[in-house]
Amino acid sequence: MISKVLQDFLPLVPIVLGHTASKNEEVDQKSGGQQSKNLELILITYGKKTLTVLNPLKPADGSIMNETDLTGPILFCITLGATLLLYFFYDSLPVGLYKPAFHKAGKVQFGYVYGMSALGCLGIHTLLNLMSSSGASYGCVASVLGYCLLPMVILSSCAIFSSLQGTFGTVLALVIVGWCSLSASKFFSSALGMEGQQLLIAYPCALLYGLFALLTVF
Amino acid sequence: MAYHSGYGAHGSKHRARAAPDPPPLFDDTSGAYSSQPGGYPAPGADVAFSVNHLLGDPVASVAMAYGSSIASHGKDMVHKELHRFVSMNKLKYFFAVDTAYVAKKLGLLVFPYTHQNWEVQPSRDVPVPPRQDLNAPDLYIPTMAFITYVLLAGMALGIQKRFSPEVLGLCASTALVWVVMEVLALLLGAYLATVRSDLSIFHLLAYSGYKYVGMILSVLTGLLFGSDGYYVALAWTSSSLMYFIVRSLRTAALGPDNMGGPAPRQRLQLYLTLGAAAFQPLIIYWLTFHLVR
Repeated sequence: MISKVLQDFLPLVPIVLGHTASKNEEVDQKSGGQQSKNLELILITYGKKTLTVLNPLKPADGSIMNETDLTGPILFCITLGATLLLYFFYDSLPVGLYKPAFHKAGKVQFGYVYGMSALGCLGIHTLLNLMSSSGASYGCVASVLGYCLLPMVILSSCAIFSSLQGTFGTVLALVIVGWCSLSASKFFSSALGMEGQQLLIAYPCALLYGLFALLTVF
Repeated sequence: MAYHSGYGAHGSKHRARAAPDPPPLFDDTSGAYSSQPGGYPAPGADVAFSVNHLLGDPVASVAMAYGSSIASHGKDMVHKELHRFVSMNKLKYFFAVDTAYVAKKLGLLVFPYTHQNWEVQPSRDVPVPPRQDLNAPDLYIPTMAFITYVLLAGMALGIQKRFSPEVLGLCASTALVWVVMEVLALLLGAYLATVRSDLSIFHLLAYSGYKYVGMILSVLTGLLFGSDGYYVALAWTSSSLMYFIVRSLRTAALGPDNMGGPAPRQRLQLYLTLGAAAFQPLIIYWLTFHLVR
């Protein structure tokens, strides 16, 4: 019974983590004037990186990954938490109240989602270390993967408004997964200096995001 | 709890760089980290910083710091043990591929009949990476094909309403066990027939992993076109895979000095190669027929 209650609160974990992690930053920013410049720099870089994700056809320069310490899966936690929270609260509404009858009231196993995303991050990190001449740290990989999770939010919001079981849903899911994986591979190939390997990196990212979409949305 | 401290530690790196005011419990290695963005983070130092802010209780903070130092020590030990068995440089050779190589190799796996030159480029000291030599084996395709096969199996079972995560794990471990057994059998055969020792375990792993591409194609056609499509695809991919393996392993096993060597040994090597090739369709059928019912 306790585990069931814990299970209900599992989707809140990323929001809590993201909030705690960013709170550490806020506490530092308040102590000193030179840190306000740091804050602006961080915001500008985050804005630039978001734009790079949202425009997958534009080539990215390799330096944007090096400007900040890519240690924070902060944005990853916040994005993930927002998506899952959205779907979780919608899922818990009774059918008929703002929720049309075709919405699948299935149980989303959040434990599987976390385990699979951790395993996927680890796998992509291993693959990147093997394929590139300069390795990538785990925080860097997790941060980039979390960043490119942004288009998945669009998919889950569409899942709320209209059923995704038909052809349109499948095509939309495929397009979004392709978008996510293309931007992730663009980040990785520009930052790690791997030429001619962007599609090779995009394929395992597409597998990961496809599995993610399958587990959370379908 | 450990999850929490790990993520809090990452966020505190900004502060660690900007204001080194709090007295450090451990050495401040975060400066070293920021100068090499490709290096591994130092979790021990960072947890020390975050713990000061998150927990007022000193005993719990010391316990957490100790636990995280144990974790980093464990991670180092795992890395050391892993490096004893698997040489990263040798493994990196197999992943030095690019998109053109992968596309051509996949085409070769499906239709190898028109390829003329099967010789691996001779090298003086460092083997030519797969980027420059189409005939060199790689491990990227087999790994990706294995993972795709496991996911496809899950999807096929889901379509047939027979899906559960345990079945997926069962599929994955069965396929893995078959790969390991086949590699061991090939190693034993190569040892008995005293084949040229250029064929390391990774080479054999690569060649036995190429059949997963055929498996994926068979399952996909089976899902799209029904049972007949599955058998047609199975026959086609099996024959092309057998041809591919026989041609590749013959040149790799016999080597450039295949004129020397006694005739019965050469025949033994030929039988070994043919046996390995004939084994492939059986495995493909065994691992896929329950998915296309």
